[in-house]
Amino acid sequence: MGLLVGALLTLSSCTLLPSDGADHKGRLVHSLYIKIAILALIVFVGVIGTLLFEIIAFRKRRGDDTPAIQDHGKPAIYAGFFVIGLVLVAILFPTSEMTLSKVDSVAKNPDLRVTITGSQWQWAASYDKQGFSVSGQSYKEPMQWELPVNQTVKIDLKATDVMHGLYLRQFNFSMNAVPGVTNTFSFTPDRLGTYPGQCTQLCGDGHYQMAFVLKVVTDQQFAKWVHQEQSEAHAKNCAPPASQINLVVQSISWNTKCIGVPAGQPFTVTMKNDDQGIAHNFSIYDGPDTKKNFFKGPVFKGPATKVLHVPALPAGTYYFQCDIHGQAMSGTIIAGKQENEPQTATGTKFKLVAKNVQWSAGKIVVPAGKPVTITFENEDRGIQHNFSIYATSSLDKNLFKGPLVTGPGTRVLHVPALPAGTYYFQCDIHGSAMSGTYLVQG
Amino acid sequence: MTDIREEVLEHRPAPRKKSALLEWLTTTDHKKIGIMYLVNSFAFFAIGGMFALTMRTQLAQPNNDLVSHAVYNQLVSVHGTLMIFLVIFPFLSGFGNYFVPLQIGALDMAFPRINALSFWLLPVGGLTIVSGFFVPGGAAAAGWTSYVPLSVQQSGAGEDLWVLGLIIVGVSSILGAINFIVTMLRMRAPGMSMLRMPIFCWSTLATSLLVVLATPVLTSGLLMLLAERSFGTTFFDPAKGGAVAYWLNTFWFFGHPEVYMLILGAWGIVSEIIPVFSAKPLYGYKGVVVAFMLISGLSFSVWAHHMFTTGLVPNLSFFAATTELISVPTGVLFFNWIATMWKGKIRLEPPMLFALGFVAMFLIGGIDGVWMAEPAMDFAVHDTYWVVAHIHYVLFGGTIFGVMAGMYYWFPKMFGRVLDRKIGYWHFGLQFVGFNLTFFPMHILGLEGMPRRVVTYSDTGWGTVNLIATIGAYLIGVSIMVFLLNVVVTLRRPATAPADPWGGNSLEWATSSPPPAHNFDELPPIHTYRPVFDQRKALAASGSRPAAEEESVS
Repeated sequence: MGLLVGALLTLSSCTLLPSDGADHKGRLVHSLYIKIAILALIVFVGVIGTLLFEIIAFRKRRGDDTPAIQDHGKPAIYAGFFVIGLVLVAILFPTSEMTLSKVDSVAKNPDLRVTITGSQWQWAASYDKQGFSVSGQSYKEPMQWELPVNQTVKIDLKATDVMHGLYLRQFNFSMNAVPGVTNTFSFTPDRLGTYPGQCTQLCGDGHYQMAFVLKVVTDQQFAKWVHQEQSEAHAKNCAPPASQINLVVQSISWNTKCIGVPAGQPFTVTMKNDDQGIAHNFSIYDGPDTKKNFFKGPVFKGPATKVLHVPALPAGTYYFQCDIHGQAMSGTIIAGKQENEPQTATGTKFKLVAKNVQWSAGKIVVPAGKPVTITFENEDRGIQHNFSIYATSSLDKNLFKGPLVTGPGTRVLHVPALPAGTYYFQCDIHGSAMSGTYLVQG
Repeated sequence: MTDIREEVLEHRPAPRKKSALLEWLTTTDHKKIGIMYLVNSFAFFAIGGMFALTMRTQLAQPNNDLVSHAVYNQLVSVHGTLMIFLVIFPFLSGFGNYFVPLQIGALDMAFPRINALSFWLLPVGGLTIVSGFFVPGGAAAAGWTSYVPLSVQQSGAGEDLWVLGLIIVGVSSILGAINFIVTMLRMRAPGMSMLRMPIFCWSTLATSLLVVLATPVLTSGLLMLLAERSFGTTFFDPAKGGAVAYWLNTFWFFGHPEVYMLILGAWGIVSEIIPVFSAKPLYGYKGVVVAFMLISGLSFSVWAHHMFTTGLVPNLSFFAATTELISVPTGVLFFNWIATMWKGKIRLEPPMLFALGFVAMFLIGGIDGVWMAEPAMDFAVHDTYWVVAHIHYVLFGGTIFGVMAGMYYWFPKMFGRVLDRKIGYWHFGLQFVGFNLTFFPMHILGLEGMPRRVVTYSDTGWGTVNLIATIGAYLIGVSIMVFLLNVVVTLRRPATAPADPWGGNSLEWATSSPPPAHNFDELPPIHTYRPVFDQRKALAASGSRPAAEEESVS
């Protein structure tokens, strides 16, 4: 009995309410829940109350042998039962339809688009326009992704292997990721906060560990995070450090997203502005919020070329932009010894190592028309990787798909012969965060 | 009516002497087959229940590692499959087998040998599914819904055994359903018109129609899944022109009528018991028949409400509307039960207690389903523990309580002994408390965001509620042991139950307890759907009390 009382006390401290919503749609669902709850409570109390009343009032009393009234029911009355039910439906249906029409609508002009991909057993979020993606590593390190507050985001939801369920509890929303289908929804988070979520659709052994953490942050924080992620993404394809940099501006964009420079040494930038009549400049900051300026080049109209002498930068990651066009025309500077300098693997037989969620080679060069044997080594303990080749980085055509290997583990992969061309390779778990160029030379 | 007896003697060869075991193994007697159905259900109930307790123990605290994720997925999948296909449905088929022929005054089912076949296929199918645990790779682990591509991806024979087992079980139910339909259409006693059939027969008829129409759809899906796994077909592979949606639609086109196959019989049982223990006729008998038929028909139009979050349903509103509409005739049943009790003479015997427990629990299962019927709201709770709570309020709080009501109600007819009343009250109390302690908190877990089918969870505040649910699950286990104790205790007593211990209405109470092999020595005249009540009333009017009441135990 004490157990029961204790249990009831614990339960009463929990609420029987859904999240009160971290966006407008979530709050609409919350209020729909309350409306249904009111109807439900009336029905529940009505039925249970009547039953209890009947059990007490109409109990067979000792010694009472008179027969009960044999009432078979009048068709008009039990037709009335149907009418009561229909009335309840007539109240409920329009109410929930109104909510549905709002919750289910997809914004036509979102501020931000993110592609979320479910794979056994991690999520990946790809910010395509921003040029980076994030993904989870393990149960303890789930995918961390951020969204700016009060901005409408449109999500394209995909699955690479089996069905998954993307569940945003605090937004009172979930949607399945279905192989072969892109599901789309949009929402506008309007409450800052950290919102954990996880997969709701049974997807195999690792179903329980397919978690993620969504952070809704201010615009500034978001820009900073984007820069950080971009730098990391850029770093993977960054040119090796050089003290002579050639920059070209064409149609309001730089010819590169990342510049490698030696740390602690001055360097020169030859900036060629090809934009007829448009003014640009080259400036270096600590980050996209441009708090600290390291270098500010002169503004000049194209077509023209200027040589800029930049003072030494301490080792680290910097942000560069054109001050006229801001983040739309920006990139990353990495000062220091390039640790992530892409190595090139060549031949028909070579080793490829996955370590710290990085490939040992950012570029693979193989001869055309010959099968290739790759010794694939995963050194990441407890993390799964695989090696897949696609026609392009938008994964439109899969040319080779290696099995998932949990680290530490080694697998010999036999990649079939491919015609000459430039292809894209990646780990399907980590997407573009762990990718490179697969060059087949004729 | 003595000609029935002569008919029996004429058409049946003189029985040869058989050992009791051989007799049970080879019997075509619907009553023995009915009992075997019930025994089969209890056996698989024990297996599925052990799986459930293992899962609840694993979930009792966060980051627990009692079972591995691979084993957990097998437990969760086979638990669901067994409970639905090998426990609940056969429980109702068992009662149907035993009581439909009795209630319509028939000698047996229409096809006694097919009846034996459909029973024996059942343990074969069930054991095929369970045998997955003994093959490399383990049993099926893609959930009882076996969604593709996960179910195609799973290596090892476990999933294939699951598919084969379910095909066998499906054939068993289709054969059984045809048998029920023909029995009710062709075997009714003189005077027993369709609208004089007891309401349990109507529920069995509606169930059988659903089985015949829906189960072949599942079988077709299962064959596709088997081909996909074994022969490399591409029905469900989007990369090769297939679509995941084909499985989802095929499965749920069967799967939703399936839910009604699992509950209609329990509605029938409860609609038999409430009138008897209220000493009143069922309020609006024809209304209930209409409701059963409406529900059965509508049940084919709601399947996509299981798929609201898949993005594969072109018109969410249509399926929300049909789902709400089906709740109208379902709600009418509550009015009928309440109105039946109104101004009755209510006796709270164990069968009635379980029937009322059914009404209350099924009410919760109906109400928490309303939220999920609204797509916007379903987005918020789909595939969380809310769904686990809902399905158990319908299938355990609903059907299993209904089945237990049927056990207490019909046990004296089947075994000639009334189940012990005191132990029955204990059983009810424990099961009622245990059930609610297990499954009500799951609504909270669902709203808190705990997904279903996860082997464990990190310490995010779900621990206490999960622990409560686990304690409840063990209480349910205890309550079922108490029931089995009751059966053992009762069976050791002398078989003294009268023909009609409760003051029943339908024909099974017009024969001895247990009935002879040929069912009836004599049938009362059938002028209404309550021939036994009419007979009792006529006897009372003529001054002599009916034999049944003189021997009444209560």
